[in-house]
Amino acid sequence: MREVAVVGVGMVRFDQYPQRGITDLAVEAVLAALADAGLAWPDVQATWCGAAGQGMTAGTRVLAELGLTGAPITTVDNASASGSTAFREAYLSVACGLYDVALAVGVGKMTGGSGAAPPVDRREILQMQAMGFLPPAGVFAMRTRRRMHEYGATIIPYARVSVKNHRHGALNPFAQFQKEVTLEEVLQSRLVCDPLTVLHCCPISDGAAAAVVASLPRARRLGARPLVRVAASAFRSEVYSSDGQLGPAITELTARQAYEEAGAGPEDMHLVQVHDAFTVEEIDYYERLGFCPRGDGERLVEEGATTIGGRIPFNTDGGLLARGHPIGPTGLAQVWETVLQLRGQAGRRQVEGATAGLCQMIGAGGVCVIHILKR
Amino acid sequence: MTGGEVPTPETAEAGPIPVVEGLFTFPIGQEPPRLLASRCNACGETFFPQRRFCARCSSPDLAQVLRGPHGRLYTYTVVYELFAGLESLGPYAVGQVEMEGGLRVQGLLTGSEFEDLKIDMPLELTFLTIGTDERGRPIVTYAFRPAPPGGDGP
Repeated sequence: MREVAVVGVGMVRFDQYPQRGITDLAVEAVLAALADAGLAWPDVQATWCGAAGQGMTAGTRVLAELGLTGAPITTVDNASASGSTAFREAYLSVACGLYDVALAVGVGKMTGGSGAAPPVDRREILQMQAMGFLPPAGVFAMRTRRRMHEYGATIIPYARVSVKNHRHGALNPFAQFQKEVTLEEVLQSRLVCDPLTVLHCCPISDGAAAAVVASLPRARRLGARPLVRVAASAFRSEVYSSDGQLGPAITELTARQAYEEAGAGPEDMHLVQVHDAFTVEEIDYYERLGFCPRGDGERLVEEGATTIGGRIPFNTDGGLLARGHPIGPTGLAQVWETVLQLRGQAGRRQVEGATAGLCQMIGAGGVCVIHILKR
Repeated sequence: MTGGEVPTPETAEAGPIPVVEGLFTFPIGQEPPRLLASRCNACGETFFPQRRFCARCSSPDLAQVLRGPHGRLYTYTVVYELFAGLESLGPYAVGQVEMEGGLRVQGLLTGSEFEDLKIDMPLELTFLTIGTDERGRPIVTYAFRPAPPGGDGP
């Protein structure tokens, strides 16, 4: 396998864009990534497009706008991990020597009714209710309730994850929410699934993000800025565990593989991006990614260790909670953030001296994708 | 708190029907219901709902077994906010219930105020009417309710 560099990143600020279509969003992100790399669309030898529930062949449909170059285009749907999976496929295609320049793009439009349509048939609704229907927030509300019981915690540490990630989002001009929230606001916002209020949950978002990867010789010819390399790409589908919880166990197994591949451990990371669709997840992942022992996750956020300026900042761009979560592109927004941080271009949210970052995504179904990037 | 009253054997002629086949024992009148689970003959793991292949070892050699009626509340939530089109369901309580052998089962919780729900409380299976079909027949599913004090736990 050859070494691979991320030579360009670009994204459209995640927000709600009722008037914009997926082509418009994806093209803006791709052009930004290509401009960042100093490349043009005809230079791209293959593309993977992460798009969850955006209709058949979303990738070929949106990229046709840029010109019909004949290069292969593959649409990838792995729910929240679609963009991360697209990035991995683009990385692998260059690592194995098939191409010198490949593109990963993710696009998602959750407003305007293109998301999952609820069933209208009464019988179908009752069938969903047979085992107690849970929206995603309900699944994570149950996990929060159990963690609170096991570790004697109140809801406060989980609310602090939201406060912290909104504070990070306020420093990111590409975040959906660029406004801090207080602990009281999190606790007193609308109850969605007890004990989670709406500020424990990621928003409905639209957006796109893209990354260009290249072989090292090609990357070096492109310019002199700090080169960001892909040090590990690990990917697993769910492994059976009797607790039936998606996320924690699979993250631990995938992280082990990623650390081994990178020849590094959690102590070598300077920043981490995770799937914080719900606050409890970030705390679970502190532990499963090896940043603290089981049961200490609540303490880590309470101590401020995971805020920018702390020992190991998590979700420096605001995470899913504040930067937003249009599903398909979210994993590529993590790559965008990590690359900017490793180049020292993250502005007011810069993690000083960062040379290694980890990106973790979970996709319903379920899968886990972890990348480690190094300068 | 969720749905209506439990149909009795006398109303069974009006034709209560299970919301889906293959989840629990029926008909009503044979209370309490038992859950229809699968036990893997190769590795011994038990699953609910039933599976065609074992999730742990992929064996196709699974046998139907009955589970319940006793369990303990492992965790729970009360769903207040639902997707558009589903608002008529809520609010309602859902729990994960640990049954014998550690099998964890998700289901509706009934017969208790939301604020009285507590992790580790003993529960038992019951039938719960969650709606009616176009002919007015009650549609029932299994649910968990607080077990009377002194009942045998799992």
